This record gives sequence, C-alpha cells and structure tokens, in this order.
Amino acid sequence: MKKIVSLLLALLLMAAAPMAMAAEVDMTEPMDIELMAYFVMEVDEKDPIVQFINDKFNVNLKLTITSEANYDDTLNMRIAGADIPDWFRVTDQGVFNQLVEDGALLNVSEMVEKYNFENIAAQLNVNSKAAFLANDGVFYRIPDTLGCLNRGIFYRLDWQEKLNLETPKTWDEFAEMCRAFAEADLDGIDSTGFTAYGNVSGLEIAQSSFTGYRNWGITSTGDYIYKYEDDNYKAMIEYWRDLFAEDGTLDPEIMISSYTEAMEKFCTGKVGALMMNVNSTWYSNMSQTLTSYKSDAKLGLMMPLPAGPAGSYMNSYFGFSADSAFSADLDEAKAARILAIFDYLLSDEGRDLTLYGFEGQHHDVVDGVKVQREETLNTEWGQCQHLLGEVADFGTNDRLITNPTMIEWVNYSTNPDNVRADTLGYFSNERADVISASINELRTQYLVPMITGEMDVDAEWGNFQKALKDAGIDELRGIVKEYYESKGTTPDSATF
Amino acid sequence: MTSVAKRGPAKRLWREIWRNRCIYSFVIPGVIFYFIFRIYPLYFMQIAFRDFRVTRPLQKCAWAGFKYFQELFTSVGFRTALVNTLAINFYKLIFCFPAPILMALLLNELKFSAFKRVTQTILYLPHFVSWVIISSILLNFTSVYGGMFNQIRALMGLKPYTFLAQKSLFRSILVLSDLWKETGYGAIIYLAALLSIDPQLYEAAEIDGANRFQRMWHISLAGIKETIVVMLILRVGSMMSGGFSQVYSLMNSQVMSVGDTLDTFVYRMGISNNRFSYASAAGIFNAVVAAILLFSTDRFAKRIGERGLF
Amino acid sequence: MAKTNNHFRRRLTAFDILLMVFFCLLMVITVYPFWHCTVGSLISYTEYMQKTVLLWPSEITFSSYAFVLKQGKIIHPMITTVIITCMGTVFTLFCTSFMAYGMSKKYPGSAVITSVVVLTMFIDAGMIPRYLLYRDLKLLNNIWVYVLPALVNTYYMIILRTNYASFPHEMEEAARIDGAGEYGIYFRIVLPLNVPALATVGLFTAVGYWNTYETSVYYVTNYDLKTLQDYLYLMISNVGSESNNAIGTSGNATVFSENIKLANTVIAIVPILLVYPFVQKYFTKGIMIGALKG
Repeated sequence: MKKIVSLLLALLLMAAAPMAMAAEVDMTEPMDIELMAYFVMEVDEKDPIVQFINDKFNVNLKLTITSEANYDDTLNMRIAGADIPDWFRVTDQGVFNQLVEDGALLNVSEMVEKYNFENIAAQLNVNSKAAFLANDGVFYRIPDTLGCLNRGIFYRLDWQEKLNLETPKTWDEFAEMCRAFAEADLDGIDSTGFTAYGNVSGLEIAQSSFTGYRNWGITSTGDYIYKYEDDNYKAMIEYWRDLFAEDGTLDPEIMISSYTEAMEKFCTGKVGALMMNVNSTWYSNMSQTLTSYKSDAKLGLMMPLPAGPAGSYMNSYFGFSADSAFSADLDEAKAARILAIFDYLLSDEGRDLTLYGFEGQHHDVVDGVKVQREETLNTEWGQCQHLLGEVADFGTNDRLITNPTMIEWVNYSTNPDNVRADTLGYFSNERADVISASINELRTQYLVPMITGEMDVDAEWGNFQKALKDAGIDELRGIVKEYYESKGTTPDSATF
Repeated sequence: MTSVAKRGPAKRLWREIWRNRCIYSFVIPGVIFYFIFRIYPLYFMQIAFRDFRVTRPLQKCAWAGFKYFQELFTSVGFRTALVNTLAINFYKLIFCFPAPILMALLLNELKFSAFKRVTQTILYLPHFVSWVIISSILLNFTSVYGGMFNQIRALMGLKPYTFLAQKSLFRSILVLSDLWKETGYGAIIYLAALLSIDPQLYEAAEIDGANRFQRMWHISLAGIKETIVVMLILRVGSMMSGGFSQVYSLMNSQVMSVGDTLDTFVYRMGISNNRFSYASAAGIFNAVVAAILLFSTDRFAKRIGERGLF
Repeated sequence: MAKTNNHFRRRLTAFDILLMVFFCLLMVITVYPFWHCTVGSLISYTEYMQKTVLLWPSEITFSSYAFVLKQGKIIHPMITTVIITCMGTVFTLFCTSFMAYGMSKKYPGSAVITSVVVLTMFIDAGMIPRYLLYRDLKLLNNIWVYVLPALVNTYYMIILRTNYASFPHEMEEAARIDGAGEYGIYFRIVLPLNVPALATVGLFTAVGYWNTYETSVYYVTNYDLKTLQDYLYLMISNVGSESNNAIGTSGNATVFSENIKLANTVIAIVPILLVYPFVQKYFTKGIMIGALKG
C-alpha cells in the first residue's frame, strides 16, 4: 500500500513539474563571459557600464572587439579554430546556417521558454521580419532591429525655393528639377543636377517605382520574375540613359563616384540632388557640412519619392543587421546567465542605461530631458550608444531621434504602403550565391554601358536576357520560390 | 682517389654533401623556417578540393574534386580578368620595369652628393602613400568640377572629360600612376647594386676615351646585369598577380572590362559564398602559372648566358 | 695625371645641368602626394572638399592630429611598433642574409631548395591555416608573432643572394688560403663589404615592420600589442564608414575621416623620413677598393 501511494505521489509530482514556475537564473557563481563584436573603437574593461553589468550579474565580461571590416575574417578564424566565442554578433548568413547545421549554436527558443525571458521573447517577435530569422521555427539568434537605414534623395531646398519649383511628384518632374538646377547654377560653380553612388544599384532608387517590387516580383500568371527580366526595369534604364546623355542633368561621374565623393559633391554645391543613406546621424552630418560650406544652404529630403509607372515606392533594407548568437558549448548555467544579461539590456531600464549611461558621466539632464554628452560619444561610445546597447539591439538608438524631419522620415519609411522590401536578406544558399554573383557581373557588363550610352539598350537587351539564362537565373528562380513558399509568403508582400 | 671513383655516384654525392657541410649549416636553419611557416600550412591547400566550411575541421569537409576550379574558369568575367591581368602586367613590364633602372643610372651620374641625397629621399616618398589616397588625388586632378586637367582642357576650348571613366585611358592611367609611385623606391635596389661596381673601372674607361653614355652602358649597366636579370625573372613570374590595391582603388564600373584583374575579380566573387574554396582554387591556379612562367624565364636567361634564378 | 683628376672631378657638362633640371622637375611631381597629405591633414574638411589641388593651407588646424593622438592612446601602439621594427629588422636581416649567403653557393640540391623557396612567394596558404599554426605555436597575442614568421624574407634573400654571388671570389679564396673558416669569411669579409646591399634590405625590412598591419588585426587581440598602422586604421573606422558617423569631434572642431586618413599617412611617414638620412650614409662606395688593394 505504502509503495503504491509513494509511486502515485511520484507520478503526480512528475506530471506537475512542467506546470511549475519557470526556472530561475542562479547568480551566485561568478563566471567569465566572452563577448565578441565589432565596434567603432576599443572598449576598456574598466568602462563604467561594463562594470555595472559585471556587478549586477556577478560576471566578468571579456570583450573581443574588432573593426567592422575585419570582423568576418576574425570570427571565421575563431570558428575554424574550434574556439567559438560565448556570445558574438552574426553577420554572414552562410556561416550562420553552417553553424546551425553543425549544431554549434545555442537553442535560444528553448532557453527563453525555460527561463521565461520576457524581453527576449518580445524581441523574437519584434516585427514581421523577425520570423525570417528562425530556422524552422527555432531561434538560434536574437533579432536586432536596424532602426531606420535606407536610401533617399537629398536636395538643395534653398535652390528649389529660389527657383520656385514644385517638389517633384514623378520621375519626369524630378528630371525637370535637375535640369533647372543645372541651368540656373545658383552657386556659380557649374553645378549639375543629380549624383548618386554605387553605379547601377544607386540608380535603383527609382526601381521599385518602375517595377512595383524590389528584387523579385510575381507576374500576372503567377510566375516569379527577377527585376532584370522585367520590361519595366528596362524602361528605368532608358530613363537614366536619356538623362545621362543630357548635358549637366546628371553628374558625368555618377557611375564612378564612391559614397564619400558623392556626399562631398553635394555638400560643396557641385550637385543639386543626391541619393544617399538616410538615418539620423547621416542627416545631421550632412546638414552640418552643408551649412559650413554655405550658411544659407538648406537641406531637403524628398518625401515621398517620385512616382514611376508602378507608383511611388521606396526600397527598404531587410537583411542588414547583426544579431547575437551563442555557442552551444556553454553549460546551461552560463547560457542562462548570458541570456539574463541580454534580457536586461532589452528592458527599458537596460536600453536607457546603454543610451544615456550615468548622469553626470555620460549625460546631463536639461529641462527634464536626458541629453547625451558629446564628449562621451566621441571618446567612449563611438557613435550613438554604448557597445552593449548596440550589440543587444542596434535599433535602440532610434529613441534618440528628435529631428522633426527624421521623425517624419521614419513614419514614411516604415509604412508598408510606401515600401517595397527585399525579403531575401536572411536567405543563404550556396547555389543561389554563386548564381547571384554571376548576375552581378552581368549587371556591370551590360547595364552600366547601357546607361552611359555605350551599349544600345534595344539592340542588346536580348543578349542580356540570354546571358542571364546562361548564368542560371531559372535555377535561381526555383530556389527562391522554394524559400518563399517555405516561409509561407510571397516576394511582393511588403513585410519588413 | 681510386677507391672513391670505384664506389659510384651515390658515394660521390655523399662526399659532395660532406664537403659542403658548412654551407648546409647556413642553409638548413632557413629551410626549417620555410618548412614550418610556409610549407606545412600548404596542407590546407586541400581547401580548393573540398567543400570547406569553417564549422568543420578540414578532414570532415566533403571532397569536391575540381568543382571549384570549374566554377572559377566558367565564372562570368573570369576570362576578361585573365586577359586584363596579362595585358596590364605586360605594359607594366615594358614601362615600369626599366624605369627604376634608368633612374638609378641617372641618379648615379649626379655630381653633388647633397643634391643626390635630397633627390633620392623625395623620389621614393610616393611609395609610402597608399593607393587609396593616390586615387583620391587622381580623382581631384581629373574631376569634372574644376580639376586641373579639365581646367587645362577648358582653356583649350574642350569640354570636360571624365578621364577615369574612359576605357581607352584606364590601362595607361594604371601604368603611369604606378610609374609615379614606385619608380623612386624601386631604384634603390639598383643604386645599391651600382655601388658595388669598382670605381676604378670608370676612371680607366674615361682615360680610354669613353664618353658618359658609353660608360653608363658598358660599366654601370653591365655591372648590375645580374641584379636586373633576377628582378626580371621575378617580375615575369608575378605576371598573374600583384597590384590589387592599385586596381581596387582606381577601378570603377565603367572601366571594369579593361581594368578588372584576377586579384580584384577573385576578391569580389569570393566575398559571397564559400569563398575559401573558390579563393583557394584561384590561388593554386596563380601559383601553377607563376611556376611555369618562372621556370621558362629562368631557362631562357640561362640560355643567353646568365646565371638565372634557380 | 693631374689633368685627368681635375677633369674627372670638377667639370660640369651640359648633361649634368640638364640632369639636375630633370630631377628637379621629377621631384616636384613626386613630392606632390606627400605634400597633399601634409596640407590636407592641416586643413578643415570644408576646405579640403572645395579645393582640388592642395598647395597651401589657408587656415591651419591641428584638430585631425589631436584626434589621432588623443589621450595618448597612440603611445602603446607606437612603442610596440618601434620595438618590433628595431628587433625585427635585426633578426630578419641576420637570418635572411645568413641563408642568402648559403644559397649563393652551389651545392647538391641547391636548385631544388631554391625552387621551393622561390615558389613560396607565389603561393599563400591563407589566413585560417596561418591562424591555426600560430595558435599551435602559442604565438597569438604574443609579440613574437610579428617577428618569427618573418625571419627570412624570400624576396630580400634573393636580392642578397645575387649580391653575394657576384661578389669576387678571389677575396674568399684568399681568406680560405689564409686559414679562415666559412663563418669567419662570412662575418669578417662578405658582410662588411656588402654594406650597401645590406643597408638596402635593412631599410626595406624596417619599413615593412613599421607598416605591419594584417598580423596585428588578425592575430593579436590585446590592444597593448597592436601596431601603429592598425591603430591608425581604427581611427578612420571610428570616424567614418558607410554605416557609421562621418564625423567625430576633437576639442571644438569637427573632424572627418578624409582628413584623418591624411594625418595617418603623415604620422606613418615622418619617422621613416627622419631615419632615412642615417641609412643613406651606408650607401657609400670605396670600401671595396681599400680591401682589394690591402
């Protein structure tokens, strides 16, 4: 009898266990945690915020920091040496997939469920693109929001006002404005109308408004079509070709400028309009440089972008961010501790800490509002937030935006009706990468001379299409279609 | 003596080795160094023949045979890159190889040593300025917005010209900018070689009535002949590579078809997928061609009576 | 005889004058890149952007330099680089020359060894194999990682080998007859008489060590052991890249990455400029003659 009762009790306890409270993270044991990330500067281990975290969680954070350009190579070396860091930022999709496949990464979903990390759970759901970061529904990394980083068109507002021009609504009107800028030459230095960087990819600022999609679209028959196959894209090429042929409407160096050169041209009055990255730091950089060149110059940002045959759309970046991942070799206690730290960094208190630091040290309170100290930004934090803030969620710095134009831009560019997203940012497949690389080469081979007029568009478009087929675009189509279907979505859905 | 001859070639070899044992003591430490740091890592050349991924040790990566070589050779743009590399390096061979020699010979003729030293110091300065900066300088000069070259064109009544975007000019720009940057520094080796020529030869030749140019040709040039030959062999051997920084900094999309070299091509293509295997295959290809070029040039040099490299 | 001496030493021909004019022109063209860097590092970004040819700063500002030299953080990388340059040059020069001397003789197997050694110049195993090797040799984060893998430089070894091979063998034979051993010949005769070539290789090696960058980036994570070029590059990436700020501040002035790049170049070149005059005095002839006559 006693035996049966104890057996029943045991069974009851076992059944009840899963319904018990979420596991608690035990902080009693001190541990060393290595974080590997890229950042704009070296971060001292005596940094006050790092110390704060060390004290709060009873850890010793070891930081391995590299510059962004060298990060991938350094991380690859560590992985190849079977020395994966405890906590690191992920930049390369292909390497990430390989790590998951070879079981080298911590199962974040499992840990989040077990310990009930609420902030991380929220982050795993932070926006519709977060779902793309899971592998078959399981998260091996924690998504990071980009904040708003996309491309727009800046232009000389003071010129527009002086010439009494209307803000262009279509690309043809935009061409008119460029012509007017070039002809009026208000700064007196033989300015031209418009410049961009990145040759064809820069001029693709107009692309979504011609084709109606970003990279892949769906035809009326339900087939997947790539932008280079589309006749609407051809129309865009012809549009730029015609402008390039005109005298002064476009910067003659538009196909060969780097982003610094393009920015310099705009900020010294050599061009009237510029395609450039838009985010709050870039915006304030440009305002500052422009006004130091000419005090009455004014910076304008085109909102909405001019409309093409398909409407007015802007392109949004999708894949650019660096999420955090963790080594599978961590024992559970250590993994729990790291995630606890992460969870804290994602909380409002944590985000506040990494944005503003400590009063009197990193920020001052002015009229009840926290204001970051310039000195901190330039000597300790590098740009807009502390390293830990950037690692946990780069997009935290969006909370700093106060400029009204930028706020308007954020609203404009996060509205799905205005945006065409490239949703392949998290997709990596060996064959797809090889074919895409070939297609990019063809882009330089064909599209660049087509725009500069060296190659006749009508005569050579057929050859371009044939070359695309030879490079494997049909195979790529199949792979892409399979990917979208596995995610239960289509390329023209404006999720981002 | 007779007993040695009777024992045959193997024994003769050992005697040779024993006789030269001191020389070996000079060479062996170096060989060990090379083995550890250069040859042993070549075990990883296997990467080119495997589907290498960093997450698995080399042995566990699937064997891929010549797949990556095939991919390399059939890549869009490979052939263009190959042709460009050979063409550009050939032009550089014709212009940029003799230039430092000529400069060294002329510097050697300068009379005032103070002037000579100052000249040397200044002439080799551009070598230390990176190609990134030189390309921005060139962009400034050729800029359509008031760049010096275009201002000259304007004075002549010509329209502004995007020099750096012209296919017909790009290779010349590569050659000329290389001349500008490297001639001074490259002359140093030849200057040092010139110093080992016995000055009495010059005096004797002058007494015999040889003029400046004859002395330059028959004594200076002849005296550094070995150095020149060795440098030439090495130069030809590196025809397939070199100049990555320069081309990468100066190249743009409009001149890609004449300027893209193998180094920049592989760098670009390798950035995407599985770059290790692809890049490794390219590396092996380069090395094989370099070996062929080196040995043929060396054979040719020996044929015309020089010591050569090997 | 007297007439010949005068004739040789004093008369300036038209050719000499033409030559000097030619070199003056060359100097003007060649000095421009460095001049551009110097001027560009001393002006504001706005001025830099507006001028196409930099001839003279209209307003000098030291903010770029202040930014790079900020808080003395440049001291550690500077010291590390000076140490490895001095130490490394000595070691590399010694080892490279040592091997070059051996390679300049003919002995069984010389062709094979030469071929293998030369070919290592054209094939590179890659970063990952190097990383794994250094890790196994405990060279990571160790100052020796800069010197040990560079002990023998193939290219310079070939140059020295060519020099030693064309060195008159009568001197060596004479010494051997006098009873000197190979090492004695090497250290007491060959080396002193090949000073120009050694100085050249020494200079090139020192420049190479001074500009060390890649090793520091990938194989050293301890900031105290990083090199000058690595630190300078970090300054630029701190200040500008496609996704980051394009400005930083130094004091009250804003600085831009373009000016910083130029300041970096000047900081890296100036020490070499200061050292070169000392090296030039080794570029003298005359040692040979004395030896032959004596």
